[in-house]
Formats: sequence, structure tokens, C-alpha cells
Amino acid sequence: MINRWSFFNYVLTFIIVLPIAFVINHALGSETQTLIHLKETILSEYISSTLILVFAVGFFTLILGVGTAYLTTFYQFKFVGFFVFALALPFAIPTYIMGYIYSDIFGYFNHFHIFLRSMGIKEYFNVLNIYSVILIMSLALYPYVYLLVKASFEKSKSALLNPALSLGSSRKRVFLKIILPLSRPAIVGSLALVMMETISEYGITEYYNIKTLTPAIFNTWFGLHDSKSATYLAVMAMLMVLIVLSIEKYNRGKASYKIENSNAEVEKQRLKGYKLYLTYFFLSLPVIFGFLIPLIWIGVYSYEYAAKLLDDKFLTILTNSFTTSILTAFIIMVLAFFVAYTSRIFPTVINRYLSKILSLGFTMPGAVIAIGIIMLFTDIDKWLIENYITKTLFLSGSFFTLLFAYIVRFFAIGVNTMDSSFERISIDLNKASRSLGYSYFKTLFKVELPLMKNALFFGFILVFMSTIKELPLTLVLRPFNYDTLATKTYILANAQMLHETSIYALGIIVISLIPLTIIILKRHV
Amino acid sequence: MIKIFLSVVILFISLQANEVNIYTHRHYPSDEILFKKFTEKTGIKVNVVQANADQIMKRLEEEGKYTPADLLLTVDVGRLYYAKEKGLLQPVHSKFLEEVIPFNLRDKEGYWFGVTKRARILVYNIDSVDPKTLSTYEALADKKYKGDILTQSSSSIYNQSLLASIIAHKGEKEAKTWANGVRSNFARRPTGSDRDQMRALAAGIGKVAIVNTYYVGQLINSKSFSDKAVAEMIGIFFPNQGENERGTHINISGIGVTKYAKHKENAIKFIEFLCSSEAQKVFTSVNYEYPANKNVSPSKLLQSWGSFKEDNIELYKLGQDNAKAVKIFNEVGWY
Repeated sequence: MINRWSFFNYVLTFIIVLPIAFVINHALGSETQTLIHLKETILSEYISSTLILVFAVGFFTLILGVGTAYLTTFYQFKFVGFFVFALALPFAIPTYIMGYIYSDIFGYFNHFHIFLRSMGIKEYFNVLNIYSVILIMSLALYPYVYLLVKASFEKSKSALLNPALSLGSSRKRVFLKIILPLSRPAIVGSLALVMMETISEYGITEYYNIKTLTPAIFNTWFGLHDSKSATYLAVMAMLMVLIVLSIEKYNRGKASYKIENSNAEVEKQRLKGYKLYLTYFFLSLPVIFGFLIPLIWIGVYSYEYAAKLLDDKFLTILTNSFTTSILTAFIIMVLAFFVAYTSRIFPTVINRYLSKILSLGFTMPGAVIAIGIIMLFTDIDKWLIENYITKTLFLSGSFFTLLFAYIVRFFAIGVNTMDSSFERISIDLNKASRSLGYSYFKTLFKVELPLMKNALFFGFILVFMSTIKELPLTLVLRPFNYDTLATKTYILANAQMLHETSIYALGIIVISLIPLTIIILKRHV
Repeated sequence: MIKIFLSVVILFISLQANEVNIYTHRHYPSDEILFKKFTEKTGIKVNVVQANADQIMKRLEEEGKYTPADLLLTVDVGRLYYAKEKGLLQPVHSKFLEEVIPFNLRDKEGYWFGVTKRARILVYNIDSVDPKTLSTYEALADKKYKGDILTQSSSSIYNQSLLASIIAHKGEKEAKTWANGVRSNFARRPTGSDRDQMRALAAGIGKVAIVNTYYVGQLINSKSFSDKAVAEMIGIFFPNQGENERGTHINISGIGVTKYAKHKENAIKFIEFLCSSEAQKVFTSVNYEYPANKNVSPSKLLQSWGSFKEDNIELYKLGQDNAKAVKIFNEVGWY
């Protein structure tokens, strides 16, 4: 018998997956002719650059994310509070904007090369290549790993470090042998997000002309005018990601990552000497290159162009971005929390794999998901009109559709955050509470919720910031005359009016800072 | 009371009706100015969704007869051709449009009309290239340009249309040989925008770049000190001007009324406005595009580049050959 919790889970999954089903259905009509042409010409190059990019970005985000999370969790030094906050900031800068900024800074007649020539170096360093893309994407995406892994470290440090240290283990040993393996769910969950976003990234790969699968999809759609074969490629990519994730999930299926919670204070080790300087160096790198330099660039040009672009519309755009992002983040985190909780208390095979299915929206390029969303809602609308319930398109092109699209797209972030965090909390706590006569619902609020606060907040930040930056869905699904900071930024950048984008990019950063500041200040993490 | 209510409702409906809804791909400041001007002039409100043409056409297609969109405005003739083929547009007749827009810049049956023109030209580094040595697009495939050519990737729709024009004039086989020849002369793997090609040119990477005219205009008028430096180092060349040559390749921005437009009259008024000399002057002075209206002269900057012979091919043919062009790019490895 299906209980109420699981039933809710199934219904929710069904709704979220509906647009994906439309995409898959669309892909079924693909032309074998087109696919053969692609296979004979460009496909192998596209697949190999996708793999290179995914693995390289995965590697660097792992080093940056885990390294920064480790140093800021287990060590005490001056400005550690500042770094905890600042290390999340690169996420506020859209990847493609970072790409444009660095290509501008490294332009032949710009700052960097002028400086070089003043030093007598005549060489020209061209940054429009895959190495830059790897570095830029790593800088833009490592905060996923940093935030999720840090939440995981925070949880295990007091429970494990104290007993282990009292038994005479070295800190290094405890970290490598216990804490790091225990954080596997968080590391894998966040890396999965990084890789999915790397595959579906379009802006920077297009500009730097790196042929990953997403450009291949657009080549087929916009160039060969075959949207069906394009979606077919997207579905194939999605299945690959799904298989990799399922294997990983299966592999760690039997391992347990649960620990008892403890709020005992751990004495953080103080850093001294060269170790301290090395730490500063390592922590500063991503902050400087991922945030500070782009911020200065954006700041300078915002100042230069502000007067021209700051009109009453700017406030509306700011409000649009803020409202959609906060709504999306809130809805996703609440739903994801319920989904993860259900698979925790009813760990059936179906429930456990639902989270992977719910992540599907993140494995395809946004523009392809948009096809599914458009088809779904125009079909509903047509049904409504034909049954005399409405007269014109009611849902298509409405704010509601846009919001729904965001939820489909970013559910992966919510569910990955929740899953990896729940895996760390022993189910015995839940059972104990139940045996005391509390309902599942009450237990959820009394036991799990307080333990999950960190993960919930970090997940909220990630969804919020992702929604602010979201582009492909917003562009094509939005209602008439509806602009967000991201669409404004993109449209100007696309018209190659790079400096004019700065004020909107600044808007994205400022709005992203609001929840980040509130949460970090409140949590004292 | 009921009367007041009814009149409010009627007022509301009529207000609703006095609008025009546009799906547009164009993302230039000139357009925003013109939308405002149109409303000021006619009282018709302009509602806009701006998105990538191929994606917004998918939305238009799926919305079918219930679509709120009255107009589809986009760059590149290939997309207009495709929109017509897909049955997304309807033919309209306007004496004014047929008079001022040259025959080759509009659909024979009135499904779409060119609004602005842009030429795909050659720019060269004035230090290393004598413009007398430049001649045609075809010549760029010559071995003497080894390591000299700069252009965008093949996902640039303007490169696709250029190749489509060569297919239309010379056939697929010759077009493929040309694409392959140009590819082997690349100064670097294609990256970046048209502006970036000119920046690379000025930096001494490559000698000749294939770019659109309005990007040259933007660069010259840029506020940025570095782009001003770039502009001083490049020269402009219109290819294929010889006596027996076909002329420089041009493309258009164009607009068509959607098949299920709810405000057809307003839509036609809007197109006529965009093609009026008032609007055409904005296009050419703000966005450095060539006017499609034959009675309007280009901006001073464009005039300073001199007049040139245009390839007068009927533009719909470029749409016909667009997919072929993309396939050739894939085959020869012009990524």
C-alpha cells in the first residue's frame, strides 16, 4: 500500500517530470539522416571536448571547493569569517559574464597587455581558448562544492573530531580517514551539480567556441532546423548523466554515512607561520579571480554608464529578479525537504531513485527544457480553450509558467542538497522520536528540521542565486515586456555592448548578497 | 451603474485592442527608441518578448492559432524564410512597402519585408595589407592567405548565410571547396564575436577578417579606449566589386505578420512605420545598418565608406540553402 508521504512524492515527481516527458516525446521523431550526418562529421569532436571540459572543471572545483571548505571549517585564523562569506561570492557572477570580462581584460589593447608592453614584453596572450574556459568555469562553479561540503564538514567535525582526538589520532588522519569519506555524499552531490551545469552551459562555450554537446544541440536545432534531432541529442546526454549518477548511488548504496549529532565545541587549530600564509594564498585565489577582479571591472563600468541606464525600469527589473528568485528558492527547498524526508522514512527503491529523476531538469540545456515547458502549457491551454474554460492562452507566457520552469530546472539543486545532508543524520533519531509517540510530521519539525538548517540555508542560497542568473528559460518563456537582470545583461552582451551590461551585472551581485549576508551573519558558520 | 461598468469594460477591451505584440530577436538600442516613437505617434502600445529567433519561433509554432504575437522581427533572411516555410507567417499587402522596399529584399508574396541591410565585408590590418591585393570572397580560399583569415565560428548565422550565397551562385561543390580553403587559411581557431575578429586583426593575429558592417560602426563609435585603438588600425574593403562580379553579400533584418495575428492592422502599421524614413534614419544612425527603404540614404559614417555594388540575389534563396551551408561547415571542419 502506498502511504500518504510516498503518494505525495509520486505526484510531485510526475508533475516535475511532465515537461521532460514532452521533450523525450519530441525527440522520438528525430531524423536519422541528420543524426548520421552529425555522427559522420562533428559528433566525436563535440563529445571529446565535452568530456575534457567536464573532467577538468570537475577536478578543479573539487580541489578548490573541498580545500576551501576544509580550511575554513577546521582552522582558526584572522579573517576566517570574512573568507567563509567571500568564498561563496563568485557564484554571484554569471559564468558567461566572467568569460566576457576576462576576454576584455586580456584584450590586446587593454589593461593586461598595456601593462606587459610597459614592462617591455611584446608577446600577445590570447585567452579565447579551452584552458581559460576550464579556469573560468571552475571559478564560477566551485561554490557548489564549497557550500555543500562545508555544510557536511560542519556537521561531522564536533561529533568526530573530539572523540578521535581524545583517542590520540592526528587531525590529518581524522580528516583523511573519517571526515572526508563521510562527506562523500556531499562531494558527489555537489560535483554532480557542477558537471551538469558544465554540460548545459552555453554562453561561454559559444563565445569561446568550445564545442561541447550543448553547441552541438544548437547547431542541429538552429542550423539544420531539426529541433527533434537536437532534443534527441539532449536526451542522450541526459541519459548518460543519469546512468553515471545511478552507478554512483548504487556503489555507495550500502555504505552508511550517518553520525550522531553533537553540538560540543571543537577547538579549531590555530594556523601559524608559512602554513598561515599558504592558507591565505589559497583562499584568496578564488576570491580575487572569481569575484574581486570581475567586481572591479563591473564597478568601474557601472559607474561610467550608470546615469544612462538607471531609470524607473531598473527598479522594476530588480524587483522581478528578486521576486522570482525568492519564490523559486522557497518553493524548491520546501518541496525538496519533503521529498528527501519521505525517501528517508520510507526508503523504498522507488523513493530512493526519485531524487535522480527529479534532477533531470538540470541535465539538459535550458533551451531544450523550454521546449517541453512550452509544449506542456500550450497543450493545457488548448484544452482549456476548447472546453470553454478560458478564451485565450492563460498559462503560456504567464508568470506562473516561468516559475514552474525554474522549479523544474533547479529542483536538482534542492534535492541534491537535502539528500546529501539527510544521509548524514542517523535514522535512529527519527525512530526514537516516533517511539515517543510523535507523528512523522511532528518528528520532521522537532528532530530533522533543526539538524538540517545549515543544508537548507545553503541550498536556498544556491537556488536563489541560480535563479537570478537564469537565462535561456527566462528569455523564451517570459511574458510580454518582462525583463530580469539576467535577460538585460545578456541582451546587451549579445549586442556586443559589453560595458553597458555592468550595471545589471552589479544588480545581480547586490541582490545575491542579500540572502547570503543574512544567512551567514545569522548562522555564524 | 451598469452603464458605467459596461463603459469601463468596453474601454478596457478597446485599450486592450490598441496594441501590437512582437516576438523579436533583435537586441539593439535603436529598436527600443523606435517602439517608443511608434506608441507616441499612433497611441498603439508595443508589447515585446525578446529571445533567440529559433526558440521564439518554436513558441510561436506551439501556440498555434492562439498565439498573442502579431509580428515576428528577426535578423537574417534564413530565419524569415524558415518561418514562412513552417507556416508561421501570413502574406500582407501594402502599397507603401512594395514601393519603398526593393524587390530582392522582401518576400514575393508579402510574407516578410526587409527592414535594414547589413553587408558582410572584409576588414584588414592597414599595416600589413595593401587593399589593392584584396578582391573577392573566393580569393580568401587562395593559398597565399595561409594563416591570415579571421572569422567567427560556423554557428554565426552570418557566416551561414554567406556560404549559402556562394552555394546559390556557384553550387554546392564549389562552395565546399571554398569553405575548406578558407578554413585551412584560418589565423586561429574561430572564437569570439565579429568585434573580437577586428581586435585580433589589430593585435597582429591574421590580416583579413570577415565581419558585418554594423559591428565596424559600433567599434568606431565605441567609448572604450581600446576599441578606438583597434578602429584606427583597420581598413574597410567591399569584396566582389569587379565588373563581372556579383557584388558584396548583404543580409537583412526583417519582419512578418504572424499567421494568427490578432491585431493585423496595427501590425501592418508597425511595419510601415519601421520602413518609414523617420525610423530608417534611426536604424542607420544609431545601429549603423543600411536602410532597406531605397529612398533613405545611409548615415554619414556609412557614406564615408563609399557606395558599393550589392549582391542582388533574391534573399529567400539564402534561406533555402541555409541547412546545406551548415552541413558543409560541419563536413570541412569549420567549427
